[in-house]
Amino acid sequence: MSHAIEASLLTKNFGSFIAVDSISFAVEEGKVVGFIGANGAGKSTTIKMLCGLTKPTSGEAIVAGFDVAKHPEKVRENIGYMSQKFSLYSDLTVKENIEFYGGVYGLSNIELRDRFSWVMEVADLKGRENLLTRDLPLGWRQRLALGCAVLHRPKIVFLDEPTSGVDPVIRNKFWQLIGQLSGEGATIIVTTHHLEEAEFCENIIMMHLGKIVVNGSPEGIRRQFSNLPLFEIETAQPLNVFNLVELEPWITDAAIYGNNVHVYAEIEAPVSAIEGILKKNGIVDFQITKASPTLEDIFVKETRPKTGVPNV
Amino acid sequence: MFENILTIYLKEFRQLKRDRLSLAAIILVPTLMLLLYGYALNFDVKHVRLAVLDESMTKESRELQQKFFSTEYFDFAGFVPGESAIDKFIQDNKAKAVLVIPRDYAREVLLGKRVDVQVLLDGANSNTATIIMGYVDGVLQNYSANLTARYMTRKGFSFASGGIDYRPRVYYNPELKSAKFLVPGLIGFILMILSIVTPAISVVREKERGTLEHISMAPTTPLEIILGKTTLYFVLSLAAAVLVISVSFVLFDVTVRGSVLLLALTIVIFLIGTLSIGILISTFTSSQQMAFLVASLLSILPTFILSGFVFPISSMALPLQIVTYLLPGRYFLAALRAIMMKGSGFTDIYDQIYPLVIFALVIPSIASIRLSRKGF
Ligand SMILES: Nc1ncnc2c1ncn2[C@@H]1O[C@H](COP(=O)(O)OP(=O)(O)OP(=O)(O)O)[C@@H](O)[C@H]1O
Ligand SMILES: [Mg+2]
Repeated sequence: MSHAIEASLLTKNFGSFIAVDSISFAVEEGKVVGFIGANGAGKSTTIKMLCGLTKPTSGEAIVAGFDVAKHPEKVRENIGYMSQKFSLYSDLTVKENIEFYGGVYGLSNIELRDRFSWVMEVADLKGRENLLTRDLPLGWRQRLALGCAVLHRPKIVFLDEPTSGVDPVIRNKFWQLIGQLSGEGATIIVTTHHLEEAEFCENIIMMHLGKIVVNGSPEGIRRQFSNLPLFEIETAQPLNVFNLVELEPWITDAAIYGNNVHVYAEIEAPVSAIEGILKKNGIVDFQITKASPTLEDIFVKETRPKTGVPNV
Repeated sequence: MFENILTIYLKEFRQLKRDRLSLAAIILVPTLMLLLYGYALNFDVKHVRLAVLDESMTKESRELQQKFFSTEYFDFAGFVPGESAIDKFIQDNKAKAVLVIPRDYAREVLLGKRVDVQVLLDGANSNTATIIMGYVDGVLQNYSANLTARYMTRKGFSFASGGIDYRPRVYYNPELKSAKFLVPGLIGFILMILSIVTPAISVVREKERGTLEHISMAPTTPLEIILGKTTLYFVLSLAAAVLVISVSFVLFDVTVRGSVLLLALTIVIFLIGTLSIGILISTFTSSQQMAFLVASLLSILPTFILSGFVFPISSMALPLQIVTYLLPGRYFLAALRAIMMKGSGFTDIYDQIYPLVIFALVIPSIASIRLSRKGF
C-alpha cells in the first residue's frame, strides 16, 4: 500500500522554542489516523506544516505524492482542512457558507448542487439551510465545517480537534461522519485530546512536547506495552489503598477507577510487595491482578517526566 | 478568476448586509459629518471686528466700507485716527483687522486702474487670519475686479516692516460659503475611512477568525480575495461620494461646476491607491484593534490635519508642508476643490492628478509584492 503522507525529520521552531521536534512518520492511504497529545504537544503545528500553511524550520513532508515545500498548490488540490478554530462565517447562513466554500474551491454549479445535498444529508442539516451559522448548535456547526472542508472531495482530510467542546453523543455522530468519509476512500488525520476517540482510529500517533512518543495501531500499541508493570488492585476501600500505595517510592503512578486502583509498581516481585504494605496496614480484603494497559495508561506513562519522580 | 472574485464579493456583500451596525455607520457617518460641519461646527468666523483707516474720505471709499459691513462677516469696530494708531487698535483687541483705504483710492478707481487696499491683521491665529483674508478677497472680488488686498499680519508686538503677505484670492468660493469649501474635504475624508480602514479591518477580521486560513487552502489566490473584497469597498466608497454630493446639493446648494466624469476619474484613481493602503495595512497587522489603529493613524489623522481639509496647507510650518507632499489626500482635496468649485479641467489639475496616479501605481505594487512573498 502506498503512503498518503510521509514526513521526515519535520521540525518547527518558534524563536528558540521547539514546537515540533524532528518527527518522522508515514500514513498509509485510506487510513484513519489520530494524533493524540496534550495542549501544546505540537499537533496543530504538525498539521499546518503538512497542509503547507506553516513552513517547517527543517525536514520535509510528502503529501498526496507531492513535496509540500515545492508544490503546495498540488498538495492543496488533494487535501481538505478543518482548522481548530471555527472556520465558518457565523454571519452567513448554512447555505451561503456551502455556496461560498464551493465557490472558492471552484466547484461547478452541478457539482455544488450535488455536494450541497450531500452535506445536508451527512451533517443532518436538512431544513436548516437558511439558519445563520451562529444559531446552530456546536455539534452541527462542526459537521457543517467538516462538510465545507471536503466539498471538493479531497483524498486526504485533516481535522484539527473537530470534537473539542462537544458532548460524547455528538462526538460519536461526528465519528460516524468520519467513518463515512473513510468509507469513500479518504485518508483522514484527526487530532484530539480525548483518548477514548483513539479507539476509532486505525493508527495512533501520540505526541508529547513536539516529539512522537508512540506510533502504531491501538492493538499493536497495547501489545507492545503489555508487559508494563501495571497492576489492578480490586478492593472495597479504594481510597485507603490509594493513599497507602501512593507513598511508596517504587509505585511510580497510581489512579483510582471505581473499585479498582491501578498502580505502576516498578520493583522486583511487585505483587508480594504490594501485598506486604496493604497487609501491614490492616487491609486484607483485596485482590491483585496484572492489568493490561489501556491506551490512556500508555499515554500517561509515556508523557510522564522520565526523572523517576512519581507524577500524581 | 472572475468567478472566484465574484464568490468573494458576494460573500462580503452578504456579510455586510447583515452587519446592520457597519451599514448604518457607512451611511450615517458621511451624512452626519456633513450636517455637523455644514451647520454646527461652522468654520466661518463671523462678525470679525474690522476697523477702518479711511485716508481717501470719498464717496467711493465709503461705498467700499459699505460693502464690507453689509455682510455678516464684518462688524464695524470704529475709525482708526491715523496710521500710528493701528498697532494699538489691534494690540488692545479693539479690532481683529484694520482696513486701510489709500489716499488716492477714489481717483485710481475712477481711472479704472488696479487698486490695492491694505488690510492689517492680527496674525496670532493663522487659521482665523487666513479665513479673514478669504472674506476680504471675496468682498473685494464681488465688488470690483480691479480691487486687490495687500495683507500685513502682526505676529509679535508690531507689524513687521517687510511682512507684506500676498495671498491668492479665494476666487473659487466667491460667495464665501464654507460648506462649499468643506464638501470636497469631507468626501476625501469619508473615502479615506471607507477605503483604508474598512478593507483593512475586513481582512484582519478573517485572519482573527481563521476563515482566511481556510480560504487560502482553496485554489483561490490572494489577489482574487483582495479584488473580491476591495470591489465592494470601492463600490461603497463611490456610493458614499455620490451621497455626500447629493446631500450637500440639497442642503447647501453645492454644485459640481466642473466635469462629473473628471471628478469620477479622480476619485477612482485616488481609491486605487487608498484601497491598496488598506490591504497593505492588513498584511502586517493581526488584530482588528491594531489594524484600526494603524489605519486611522495613517489615514484619518493626516487627512484631517495635513491635507488641507481643516487647516490650510499654506499656513502650516514648513516641515509640515513638506510632509503634506507625501499624502495622497493633499492632491485629492486640491483636485476635488478645483473640479467642484472652480470647474477646472484636466489640464488645470494635471499637477494634482499625476501624483495620485503615482500613488495608484506604487502602493498596489508594494501590496502585491508583499502578498506574494508573505501572504496575508
Ligand atoms: N505562531 C506561534 N508562535 C509561537 N509559538 C507557537 C505558535 N504556534 C504554536 N506555538 C507553540 O507551539 C506549541 C505547540 O502548539 P500547537 O498548537 O501545535 O499544539 P497543539 O498540540 O495543537 O495544542 P492544542 O491541543 O492546544 O491545540 C505550543 O506551545 C504553542 O504555544
Ligand atoms: Mg492544536
